[in-house]
Amino acid sequence: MATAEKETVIYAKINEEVIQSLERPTWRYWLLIGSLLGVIGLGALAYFYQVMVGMGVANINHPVGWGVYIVNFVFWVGIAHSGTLISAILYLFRVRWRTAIYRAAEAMTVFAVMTAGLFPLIHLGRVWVMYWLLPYPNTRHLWPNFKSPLVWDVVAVTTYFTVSFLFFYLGLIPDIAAVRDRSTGLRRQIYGALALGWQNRYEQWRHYARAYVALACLATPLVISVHSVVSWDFAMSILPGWHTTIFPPYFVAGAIHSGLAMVITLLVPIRVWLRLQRLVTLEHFENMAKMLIFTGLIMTYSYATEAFTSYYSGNHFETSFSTWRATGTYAPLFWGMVVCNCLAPMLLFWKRVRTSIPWLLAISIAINIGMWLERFVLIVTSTAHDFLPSSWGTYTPSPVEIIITIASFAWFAFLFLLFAKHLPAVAISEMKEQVAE
Amino acid sequence: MDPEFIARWLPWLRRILGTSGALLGVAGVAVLVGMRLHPGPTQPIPFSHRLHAELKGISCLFCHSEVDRSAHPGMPPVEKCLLCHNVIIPEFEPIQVLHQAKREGKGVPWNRVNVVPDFVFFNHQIHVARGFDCGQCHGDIRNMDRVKQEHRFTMGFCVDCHKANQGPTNCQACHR
Amino acid sequence: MTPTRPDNEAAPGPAGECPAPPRTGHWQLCAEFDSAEALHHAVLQVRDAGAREYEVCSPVLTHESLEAHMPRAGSRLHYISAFGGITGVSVGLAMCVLSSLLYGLWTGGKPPVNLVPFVVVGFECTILFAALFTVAGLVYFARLKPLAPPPDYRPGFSNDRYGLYVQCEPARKPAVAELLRAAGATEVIDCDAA
Ligand code: HEC
Ligand code: HEC
Ligand code: HEC
Ligand code: HEC
Ligand code: HEC
Repeated sequence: MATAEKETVIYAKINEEVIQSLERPTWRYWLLIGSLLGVIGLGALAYFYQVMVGMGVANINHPVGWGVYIVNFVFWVGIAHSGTLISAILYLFRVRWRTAIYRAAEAMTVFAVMTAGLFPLIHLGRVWVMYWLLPYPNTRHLWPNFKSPLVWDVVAVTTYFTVSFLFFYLGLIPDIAAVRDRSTGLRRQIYGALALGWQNRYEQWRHYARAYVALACLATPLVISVHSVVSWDFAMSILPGWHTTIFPPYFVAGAIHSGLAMVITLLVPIRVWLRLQRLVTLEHFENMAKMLIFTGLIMTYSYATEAFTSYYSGNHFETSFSTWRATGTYAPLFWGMVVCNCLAPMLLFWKRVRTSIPWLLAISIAINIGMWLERFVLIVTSTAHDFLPSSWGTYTPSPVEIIITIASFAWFAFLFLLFAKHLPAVAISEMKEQVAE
Repeated sequence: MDPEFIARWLPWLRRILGTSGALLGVAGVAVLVGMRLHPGPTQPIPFSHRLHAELKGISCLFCHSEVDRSAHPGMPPVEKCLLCHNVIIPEFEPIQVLHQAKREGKGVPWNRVNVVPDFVFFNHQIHVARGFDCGQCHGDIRNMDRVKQEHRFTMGFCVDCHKANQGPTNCQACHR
Repeated sequence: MTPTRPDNEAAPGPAGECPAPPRTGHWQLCAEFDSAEALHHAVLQVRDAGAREYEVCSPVLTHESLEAHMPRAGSRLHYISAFGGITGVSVGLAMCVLSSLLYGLWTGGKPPVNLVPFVVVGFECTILFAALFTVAGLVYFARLKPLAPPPDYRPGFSNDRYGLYVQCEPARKPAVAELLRAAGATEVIDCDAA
């Protein structure tokens, strides 16, 4: 009985600790929200300028038709992946340390996909006919070309968003109910509606448990498939640097690398701000840092393999392209990417580094930058330097593209901030469950 | 949300949705019927195909003389009208417009009825050479006083016939 | 202890799945417990006393050891997920094949109907439909709707309390309440009064 006493006391503490983070925000929060909205507004203005004036205001043109917009798309879809990794795959493997951080990671997934999903639309010359991407009977008697990787992308990203959102929401239901039971007034009505009348009843739990496992099983293959599909956008073409079979695993590893770094970048400030230090501990960061070493090594191996296959292929276009990538116009970006993605994570081999929050934050930000550079280098260099020397060119983003890119980060931060302040950022009922075990 | 709240507002929600749905439906039907009944664009001269092509039996090729030879069927020059109208009802007011145009050395600014967007390549020659009747695409011109577009030239319209008659269906045929 | 029968009907059969749980508002008594063990103990008592319908509330996923003693166990939700998956793969592949046939063109050097590229779409649709069906199934089975919980729901159940709802004849309420208290309930509430 004594231990049982303790158990429910811990329950109450966890409940208290998480729900206190949802208390009325301070002016600093509103200031932050306001400034983020300002940046988003700027991005929206830039975008409307692009719609009114035309795609010419973006620097994408021949030969580089895929610029920063597509870079951002691939980057953000990649960020999403580690959220699903942590919430679904680590769940199925019963990794205990996942519980405290998975909610935040999952939210990151949903918001990253919401950010990523904007970019193909921003990239469209005529957004108003974007519904042409959907299969529906139309006056053209045309259907989407299901043999095209771009259409697979639409299907894959829609599925990914839907499934990760459902998974995220499913996990939230009991926790929103806990918040509902501790609040009053309008707040109670809103959380009450969101909790879908959850009553913690056995009749609900027994189906809930099944649904949760089912969704975890369904989300797991998506971690691998979605970025593989994104990589096919490139690998299915014939350009040197793109046309390789290594792309899908390489993209997935990169996605998880960047995503883990993003989780760390987000959790460091959030846990201080919401005073969750007792639930999200150094141990969690250390575990993620270890995973970063692993993915960092995979990235290094992939870069090496990529260079090797192009050399070993004996194909003149491939070899000269790889040489150009490492020595030509974009060489600084290329080497920046190698330093940030391969060398920086290696510092985490030292326990001193991986248990120091400032170091971790610095390294994770470096990896974020590195992964963005990687996407830029991958996407831009191949189109800039294809088979015909006469069609070589370079590309630098225009102000409109840069503003929209910055705004996308603000949009993501905005969504995440709203989530952290208004929804339980740590999985209450699962934390309790872990205590019970 | 408490059940009472929902119970209070649900009927209103239903009413609003129902009314706006009905209004939208009526508006849609009205637009469709309007499009169907619309007599086609007005022309500077009330030229009647029924009179010339049906009652007087003038061949289409007499006026649209390039239709079997070129991408453009060609509109009859003023001189061609005046071949007859120098003698037939020359004082009639619309015919005066023709004379006026002739004196000024200009054509008649006919309003276009049938158009395909300029990213679509269309050529009458090959279709007429295959023996398709003008009516298959333009409807019963012979019985129109004022020409109106009978079929919307959607891509589906073109492609359906191409599939049925071994016409080209690769995109480059029409989008060059 | 005197065997108290919470309801007059025949003794229950073995725990098994019965088509539909009773709707909320059916309960006469609700007992609160402060530990999983106490709850477990009380469930056994109530069951041995011959109750046919009782329901448990718990702030965490209910433990498997409890399932054996509940009127209904397990869930058939995974059949719905599987059905969703099969629907998804059929819809996905059918969509690809039929729409390709509708405009039979060779694209990307591939004949109109070419299964390899369609596998991607089929796969994604499998996952999408399975997930949607699963959630729809959950909403149906667990009766989720955006309404407030019934009045006899206790907020502690989402915090640190366990609950046991029992169905019994009004006349036997005091006896059952006594039984629950004896089993370790910290509080027993009359649901009809709530
Ligand atoms: C082959 C001879 C011929 C040619 C060529 C010809 N018309 Fe006519 N047009 C007629 C005849 C015959 C009438 C009927 C006169 C009457 O009503 O008595 C007529 C009547 C008309 C009328 C009056 C119709 C009415 O509703 O009363 C107009 C307007 C007219 N033509 C315009 C044109 C124009 C414009 C052209 C050139 C594109 C043209 N016509 C070419 C023979 C011709
Ligand atoms: C007497 C000369 C004449 C004859 C004969 C004639 N047309 Fe025309 N057609 C015109 C003139 C003038 C116009 C422009 C005025 C108008 O649109 O009503 C025209 C317009 C048209 C148009 C619409 C062009 C657009 O803007 O899209 C079509 C289609 C057409 N004719 C088809 C025919 C067909 C089919 C026949 C044979 C049945 C025929 N025409 C016979 C003179 C003629
Ligand atoms: C296969 C369908 C088809 C057939 C058959 C056809 N047309 Fe057309 N016609 C069109 C289309 C499409 C246009 C619009 C072309 C454009 O916008 O360039 C058109 C336009 C025209 C125009 C207006 C052209 C202009 O430049 O203003 C005339 C006149 C015309 N057709 C006459 C005829 C005549 C006469 C015949 C029969 C000999 C005929 N058409 C047969 C499809 C057809
Ligand atoms: C009534 C049937 C029919 C309709 C309607 C039709 N076509 Fe065609 N079209 C054909 C046939 C049949 C051919 C093949 C002719 C041949 O190869 O001899 C053809 C050929 C063509 C070609 C190939 C010409 C070339 O020079 O290679 C083009 C382009 C074309 N059609 C465009 C169109 C467009 C655009 C439309 C719609 C506005 C259209 N067609 C509507 C029957 C049709
Ligand atoms: C037979 C001729 C024809 C062929 C073949 C054809 N098209 Fe079209 N297409 C058209 C016509 C005519 C339109 C204009 C439709 C309209 O204005 O509603 C059009 C419009 C379109 C549009 C809409 C463009 C816009 O901005 O409104 C797209 C996209 C398109 N076609 C794609 C294709 C593709 C892809 C193919 C090959 C699979 C193809 N078309 C083959 C005739 C054709």
